[in-house]
Amino acid sequence: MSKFVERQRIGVYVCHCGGNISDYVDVKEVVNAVKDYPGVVLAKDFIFMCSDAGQKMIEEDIKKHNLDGVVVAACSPKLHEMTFRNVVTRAGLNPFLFYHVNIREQSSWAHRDRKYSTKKAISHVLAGIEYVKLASALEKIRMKAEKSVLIIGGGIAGIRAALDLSGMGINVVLVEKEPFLGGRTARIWRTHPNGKKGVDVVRGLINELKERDNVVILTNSEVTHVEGFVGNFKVKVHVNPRYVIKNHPRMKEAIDVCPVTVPDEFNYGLTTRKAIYYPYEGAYPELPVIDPKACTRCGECVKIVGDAIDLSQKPMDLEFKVGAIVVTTGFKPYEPKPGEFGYKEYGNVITLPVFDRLLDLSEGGNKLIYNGKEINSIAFIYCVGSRQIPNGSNGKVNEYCSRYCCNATIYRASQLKRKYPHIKQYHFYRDIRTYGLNELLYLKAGEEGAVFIKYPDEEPPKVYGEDGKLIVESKDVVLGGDTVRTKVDLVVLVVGMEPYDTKKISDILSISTGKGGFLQEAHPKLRPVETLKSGIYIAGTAQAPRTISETLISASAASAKAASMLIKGEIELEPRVARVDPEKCNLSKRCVEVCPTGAISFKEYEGLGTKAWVNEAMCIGCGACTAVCPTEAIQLNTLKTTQIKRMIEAAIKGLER
Amino acid sequence: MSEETYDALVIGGGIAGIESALTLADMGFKVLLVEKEPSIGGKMALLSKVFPTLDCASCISTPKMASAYHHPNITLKVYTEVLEIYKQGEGNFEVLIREKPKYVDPQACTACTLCEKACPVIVPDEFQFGLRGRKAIYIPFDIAVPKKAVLDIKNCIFCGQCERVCPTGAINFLDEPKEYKVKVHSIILATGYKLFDPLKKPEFKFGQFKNVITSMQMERLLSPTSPYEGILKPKDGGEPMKIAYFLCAGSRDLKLNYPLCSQVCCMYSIKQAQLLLGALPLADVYIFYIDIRAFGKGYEEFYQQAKAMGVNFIKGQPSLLDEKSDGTVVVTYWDSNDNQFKVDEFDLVVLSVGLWPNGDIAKVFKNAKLELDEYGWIKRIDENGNPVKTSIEGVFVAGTASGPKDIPETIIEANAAASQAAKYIIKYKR
Amino acid sequence: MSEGYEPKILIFSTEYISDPAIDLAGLSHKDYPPTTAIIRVPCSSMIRPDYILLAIKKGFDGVFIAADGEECPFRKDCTEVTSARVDEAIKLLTENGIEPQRIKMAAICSVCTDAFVKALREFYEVLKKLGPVKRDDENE
Repeated sequence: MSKFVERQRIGVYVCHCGGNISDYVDVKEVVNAVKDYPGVVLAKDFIFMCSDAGQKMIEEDIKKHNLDGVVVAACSPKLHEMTFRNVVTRAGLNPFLFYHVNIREQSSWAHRDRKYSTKKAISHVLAGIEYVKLASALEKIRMKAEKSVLIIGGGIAGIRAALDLSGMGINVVLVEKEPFLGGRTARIWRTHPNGKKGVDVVRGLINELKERDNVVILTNSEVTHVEGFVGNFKVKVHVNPRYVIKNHPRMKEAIDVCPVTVPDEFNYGLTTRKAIYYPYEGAYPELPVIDPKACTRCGECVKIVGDAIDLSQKPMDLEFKVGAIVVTTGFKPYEPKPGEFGYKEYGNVITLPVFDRLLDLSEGGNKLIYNGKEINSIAFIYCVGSRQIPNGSNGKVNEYCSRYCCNATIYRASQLKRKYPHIKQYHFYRDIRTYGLNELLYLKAGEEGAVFIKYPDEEPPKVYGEDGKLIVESKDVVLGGDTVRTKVDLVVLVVGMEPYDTKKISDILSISTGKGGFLQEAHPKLRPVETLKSGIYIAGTAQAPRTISETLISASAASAKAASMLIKGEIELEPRVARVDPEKCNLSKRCVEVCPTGAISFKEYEGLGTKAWVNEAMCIGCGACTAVCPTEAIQLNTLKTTQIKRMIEAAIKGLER
Repeated sequence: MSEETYDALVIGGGIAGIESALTLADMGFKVLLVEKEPSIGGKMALLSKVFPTLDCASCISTPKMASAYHHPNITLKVYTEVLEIYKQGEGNFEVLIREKPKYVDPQACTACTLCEKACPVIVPDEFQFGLRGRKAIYIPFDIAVPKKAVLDIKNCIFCGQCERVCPTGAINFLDEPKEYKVKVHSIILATGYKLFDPLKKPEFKFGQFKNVITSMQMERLLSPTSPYEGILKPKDGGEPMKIAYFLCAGSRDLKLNYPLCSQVCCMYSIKQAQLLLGALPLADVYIFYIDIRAFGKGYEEFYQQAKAMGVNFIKGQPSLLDEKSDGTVVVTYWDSNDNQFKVDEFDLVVLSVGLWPNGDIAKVFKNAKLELDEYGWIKRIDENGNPVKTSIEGVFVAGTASGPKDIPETIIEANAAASQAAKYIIKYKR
Repeated sequence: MSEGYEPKILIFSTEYISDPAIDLAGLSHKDYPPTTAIIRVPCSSMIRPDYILLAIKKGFDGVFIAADGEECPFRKDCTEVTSARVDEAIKLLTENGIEPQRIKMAAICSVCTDAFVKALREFYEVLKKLGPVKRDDENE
């Protein structure tokens, strides 16, 4: 390592700020105090250093006097640090050889006694000079980045992100665990606000996706391993066989001929499907899949479509590089415990997602039939699996509100009314949270005759059977606590959202989950779709319960953030990063322990053996490592330990004058 | 003179507009950010702390405001309005812009505040929601960006005091509006909302009973840059001991023909209640509600925390108000828990005012129609496909311009709009 | 002698959070002891315990760390990590025969001027009561 030479030709500029500083700080005395200070070749004061004349003066001085460092003592650096950095740069000096000293907000405005504020100003200026003496010229760190993004989860969030990123010229690999894209949205009966079916919402997005030539879709696939850092992630994906390898004009016959029938999970078992199947008409990819667990390998389908099906297809493991990752792994509906509101105890107690499939499958007729019986009255019980009250006994509870459910159920109430006007509806709720414009849904449902009963927080309704019917019994808060008993044909449990397998994905990516198990954002307002791991973004219901449009918006937002990182094909980072002097490193490892981003690891240095090493792409420049290193081997580029020590020594000299 | 060209025009310099502009600028697009007030920051910059994390609003907004101001790809125009927009084919909008005269040369102004001190005219300060006065020449607020004085010519008496004290000769009484055209490839509307004006509902006695204030005034009182030193009753300057919140003031109100929910009032009221219990440990806080809508991430937990701290939640709508000579407000309400009318007295009543549409922007589109919903919010044309699209291709919406929203959602949506604008620019920029 | 004694305080502020708060204190002319010098760092977690010892050995009477607290843009555990450094500093001061009260840490949000001014004034009073640091090498 070359020997560091201290800066010897520093210029110091003290601003009057038109009296704002000079009325309470004796700027002439400041200039006098520093003009002969070692390393300073000139010190000047000026009425407005930020003015054009002031800027020109500094620029000319740098050139004329061959200055190798500049200190400006003026207002807060928040206001004009950038201004002077630009001045310095314009004059051909590295902008990091400049220090902005605050003598207005932190001196002349703070203290009304001229003697004290002058001392304080001198103290700050001396510290600034010491800073510059030991400052290093620094350049922005540029590294090549893969202009591609891995999206994990092929529901609407993942598809939206794929559309946005590919539209911005970034290559996308979209990985979906299931054999088809579309996630949970495809199962929704009708969506707010225009009654579009869930499958049509998905189809609309997929039609757009088909036009993209820079998106690779991997279904039946799971991400198994990720390593690396922003701009350069190495990803491993396990692809399960689909067995159907291409399309065939007689594919429909091949499906019909399959002798195996199993419950169809897409419809929560309300219908059945074959071992070779599509979940629904128009599902994408437009290629059926063979369910290896159900398939008997009888070969009937192969007899019809021949080499379009390969029952011996093997799984594959792919490996590729991406610059960023967007996680959109979605949610799963809360599964009530047996006995919870009569669930699994009475046949006619079902959850909202199952009810949705029932409604969808009943589209043709004008009667709603369940379990062979016509439904003429329905009770909806809200907040099942949401807003649960901890009671210390039953383990994990979901204390959060699931956000979508009030809106979704009330929208269905109106759709139900349109389709089956004769069905009576009773809604047992705690608070109706049709927030924002959704309030109109609530108004409409009320006008249409849906009955709303507010049950007490601590006393949810009871469900029990009587004479072949179901009874829902509850206190009604609005009626002053009177008990209401309602006889119904069907009870629909409005179940909340739970995170889906976030534990697994957070382990693979080393990102964190928050309360309730949803993926955790870096900051809800500053960085709402970013994780603490640079280059990894989150969106949709994996992060928090959301509606369809909120999910789509968050996916677009994550795309924007990923794109702004990668769009130029290289990443530009501020040079404020930590660096290790391997000769000094004694392997205490304390830096590794304190680093918030895992940026520090070890590497082999020629002739020195294994020593600590900072991955600059991962370093955020907090400097915490520099505070714990016993040998001061690790240093923040922009604020070295020696700089701080010299600043402390200089500062006290100013105050003691 | 050839017209300036930008990749994107962002209208509105609140947190949504700032965020959209920053994201686009970070991608390398040239952005023109236009704000009609003399500072960017919008409503968020004036808030105290934000739910559910209780971190301070300015800690989040000020760094973003400063980045927008300094970003090499962002041209910021404050005190500036968009007058007309003509769409001339995809990717091509012509925009007529008007910079209002500031009567202060921003290049020369150093925010030294001497003019403010010298000015003899005091008018209500709109950034403090009337809690305090400001001068006719003024810096909008402590954390304003850019931090420059403007002269409110309507209230100026032309005494010339400011001109005499200004050390840089920045005052220019002859300043004139500047109108000019720019070309842009895409537009993001981040025009935000208007606060409900409680004078629209005389039953609230706002402006009549001194100790009835709005939640935004309370926000200022709770803020570290509070106009008073602490939380005081306007009537006598004493500390309030019993405080009532009326939720849904100007929301869910059929009499006002405004049935919409404002989405944030439950939460900001719960937040204020928690902050009040911290600031005034002996005070009691009552929140009158229809439904508590704590639906966002961490919100329900925040609501339960308020209950555990001792905030009183009463399902019921206050129906009549009276004032005693000491300023105490008498409230009658139907308590549905007990099924009866009750009367109670409060030192301070806070109206949790709602968010109303600010749909004025629709009329600047001269040859294309920007669709609004029946209440005046900018209509999302593809709610379940591409929610930030408006009825005009190439014009996107961010934040509360399309309906009430909390801050996290606003910031997320601002990024979504940036994403769509970026795609559109790439597709159509010639 | 303690009549005219004015303790000198080194303040560590953080670029994004507490430094703006200190700016705002000046802007609103909130009075706090002027015998102070401020050094800004990105994050309070980077303050080495030996800086504090050095400051006191060289002539400061106390060190005030205006920490980031929960608003820290770098790390959620900022308070925790900074506190650990402060604990080490306390140990270091004690080992060197210096009263541990000479170090004070408070989380100061970016507009928490009142909190800053109050905490600093209190600290000043504490130092005043302690009196000057007993240094072996007084003639430095």
